[in-house]
Amino acid sequence: MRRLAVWLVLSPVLGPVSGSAQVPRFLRADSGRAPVDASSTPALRQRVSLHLEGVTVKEALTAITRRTGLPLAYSDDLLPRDARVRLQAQEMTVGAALRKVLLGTGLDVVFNANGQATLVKQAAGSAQRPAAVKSQ
Amino acid sequence: MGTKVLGDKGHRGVRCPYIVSNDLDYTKLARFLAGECSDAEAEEVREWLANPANQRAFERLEQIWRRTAALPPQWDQDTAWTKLASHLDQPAPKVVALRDRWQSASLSVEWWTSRRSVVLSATAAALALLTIGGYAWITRARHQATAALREVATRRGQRAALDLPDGSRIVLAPGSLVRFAADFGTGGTGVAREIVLEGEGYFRVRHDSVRPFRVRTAMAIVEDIGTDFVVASQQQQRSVAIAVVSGSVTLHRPDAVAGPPLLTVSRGDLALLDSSGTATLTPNANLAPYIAWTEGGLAFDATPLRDVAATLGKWYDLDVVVADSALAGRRLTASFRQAQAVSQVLDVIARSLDAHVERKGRVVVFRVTSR
Repeated sequence: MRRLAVWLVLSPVLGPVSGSAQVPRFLRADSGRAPVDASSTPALRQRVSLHLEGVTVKEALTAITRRTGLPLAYSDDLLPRDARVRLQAQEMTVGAALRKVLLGTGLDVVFNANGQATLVKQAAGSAQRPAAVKSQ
Repeated sequence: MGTKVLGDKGHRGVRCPYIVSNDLDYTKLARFLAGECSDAEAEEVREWLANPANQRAFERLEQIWRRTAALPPQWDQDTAWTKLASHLDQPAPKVVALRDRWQSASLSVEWWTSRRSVVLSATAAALALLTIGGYAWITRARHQATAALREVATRRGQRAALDLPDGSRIVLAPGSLVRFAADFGTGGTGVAREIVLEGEGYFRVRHDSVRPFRVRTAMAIVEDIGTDFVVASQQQQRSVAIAVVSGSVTLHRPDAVAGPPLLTVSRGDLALLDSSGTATLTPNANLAPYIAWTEGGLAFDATPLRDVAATLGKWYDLDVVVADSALAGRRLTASFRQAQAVSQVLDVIARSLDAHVERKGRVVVFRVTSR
């Protein structure tokens, strides 16, 4: 039986996370940023085990990309510097891991046709939309 | 000194039926085939094609170009050239009369354009075939001055893999150069196998306990202890980075190779020696920015866009401009898989940094996104 245990701790500098606000979404680069179906996207369906304690968001992203080979691009200037991530997961999908790590950062993940992922700032007001992706 | 400048102009000293007599930059032909020439370059190529001999050579190159489109994207395949050659209905050209240790050396060349790369590999026996694809091995005049050294240099947009007579392999990044003795690896006990590096190179060393393998840069000497490693020498900044993929190396000052090393760098470690002479070691470092290129990819780790632009320019032979100083300082972390088209790479970078990118021919400009 697969064990799954996840904790995420973000420092107060990010502010409160409520409802669907600041929930990262997976979107397509084309098609007007339509949602990506994570359940049918191989890169997001990959499984990864992570044991991260008090690491930065960048360190958590690096752990995910190094273990899965996910090609990911982002501006370091968009990542919260002081937030700390605690993530203990066995055989978690990449999609779920990214959602946990990026929760509250105000960032979405955009995929181009080649499967290249890019972190982008959520458009103003868009964070209130319900997360369109089921990643487990 | 014999210098082999890959993809350089023309070809001299070797009789080959497909090689034209007048000079034209073959990378320009590659861009022409890829539809990436500027108007002026395209006109230059068309004028060049007015010569029937040039037209015939171009048709051969075009055949290679089309057929390599069907090849897998991996660049360093020994079979790639064989596949290409099998499509050619012409008899094999005369074999270049290689001298010295080159007779047991071989070279593979990758030619990057914005859309895809072309791969050619050659052993000594097939060396002349390289010239069909426009890869010229040039023996410069200075070869006559001293025959004791050999050089291999890559231009912007090129990589080259060089298999040395001792079983070691060098992969040379774009805009880089290696220089070594013509009798490399043949010395007796205690005679070092020494490579001078300008730029960036990946070294897979066949360890020999009695013939040390050393890579000499302006700032440091790196000595192998049985390993794969990347040395990135920045001439202008007078710094050097060593990323060790396997095994270990020792890092010495250029004038103190016989003394104790500054550092011992092991698998997964990154060593940096800056212009002040300060050496730092980062164990279990993120080596991707240093080694991704050896597998045809690109990687950046919190790299300012101004430095990303310089790398892109070198890799894709582009002139990349960042039009805003604040934008130039934005830091990018990214990994790009093998053989991505430059248009896709540029789009991803612009999206990541919330910037706008324009490309006209070989000129790329990043601007702040207008609101």
